[in-house]
Amino acid sequence: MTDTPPDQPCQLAPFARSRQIDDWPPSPQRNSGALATSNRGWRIRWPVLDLATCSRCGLCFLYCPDAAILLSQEGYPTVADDWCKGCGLCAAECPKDSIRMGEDGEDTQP
Amino acid sequence: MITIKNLPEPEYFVGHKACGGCGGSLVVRWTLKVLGERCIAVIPAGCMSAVGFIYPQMALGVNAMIAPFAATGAVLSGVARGLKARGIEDVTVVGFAGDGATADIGLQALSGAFDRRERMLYICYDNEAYMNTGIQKSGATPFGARTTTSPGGYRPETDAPKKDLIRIAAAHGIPYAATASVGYANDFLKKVQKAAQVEGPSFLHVFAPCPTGWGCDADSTVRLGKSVVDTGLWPLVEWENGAVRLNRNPARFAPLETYTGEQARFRRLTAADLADLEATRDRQWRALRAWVRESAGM
Repeated sequence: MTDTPPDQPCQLAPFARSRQIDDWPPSPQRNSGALATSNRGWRIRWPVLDLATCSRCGLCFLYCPDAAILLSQEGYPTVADDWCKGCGLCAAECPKDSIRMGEDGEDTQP
Repeated sequence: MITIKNLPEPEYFVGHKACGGCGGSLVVRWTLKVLGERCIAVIPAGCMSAVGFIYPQMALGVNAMIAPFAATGAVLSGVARGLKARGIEDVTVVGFAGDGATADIGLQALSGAFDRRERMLYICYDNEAYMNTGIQKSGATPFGARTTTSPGGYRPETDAPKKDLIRIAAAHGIPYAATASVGYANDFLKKVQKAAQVEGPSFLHVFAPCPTGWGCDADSTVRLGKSVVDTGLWPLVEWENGAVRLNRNPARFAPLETYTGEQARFRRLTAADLADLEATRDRQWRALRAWVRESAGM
């Protein structure tokens, strides 16, 4: 793979699809925060956010086992496409019901 | 004090391939957020090493190694002694082992590490069976649970089907041991911080639902983490320097169906089984409260 691992573990590097076996490194060298293969194929549902009712409590960020929910500076969540496995924990635990598990690929922005 | 409101931003366990809604991966993610970069993790064979160390990537952002199944306590001891020999004092040594690797296979190494008073934090994420190898019954499987080796539901002869890890740890006289659940995040985060500060061994036994093995919805992880505590099946206990405390000591419990009803592994439980389970729970709580009184010298 040609992309460099991120400096900070919290930064999610864009997922780069490998085409050739030579694209893969000879040894494990990618950090936490990189993704070797996309999780996109794991899910059939995915969280659709309604930011108008969001209270910015951050529980979705807390409970996501895959850290696929990113919080903006203002505290609003976004979903990282390649990372989300569609488990629905964020939607189940959202106290304001601002998250709905919709069709995979449905736009999260209103 | 780190709570759910000011959880540190850096992630040290992402990019792993755990199943959707995995409780064990939440335990590792939260713990490493609290402990931060100055930490060395030891993970034995089990789900978290299978999903965290997949070529060409290591999902842990801290130094970490895989231990043999039976050797988590021994490897933790080695790392702790190595750090001590080099004069490094600000690094936490933490182990993440499943219930099989703690209650059954790794119990001897863990006991040895407790006995030597190693400065380490041992976290057992309990999903109540050997999930990584195909959901076989472990020493921590509860009454009535279906696993691939107890397909009709586990029917033990004894009153206490689950090994009581907290009392095993406390019996070693270690400075700190506690139980926690992913359903009560603040309680868990508080206990991790306490355990990391202890001079000597500390032990956390954390309830971590496994949607794949339990046959529950992937989004029920946190809900089950709450209801198992509310039904009294998972007491939140804290053992600190010889004194034991109940973090929650309710006068009455939520009905057991609120916990068992969501899981396919308990589908075979009849009303009589549930009554048995309730009687066992009440007996265990009486013993627990007696233990609290005894430790307080009453």
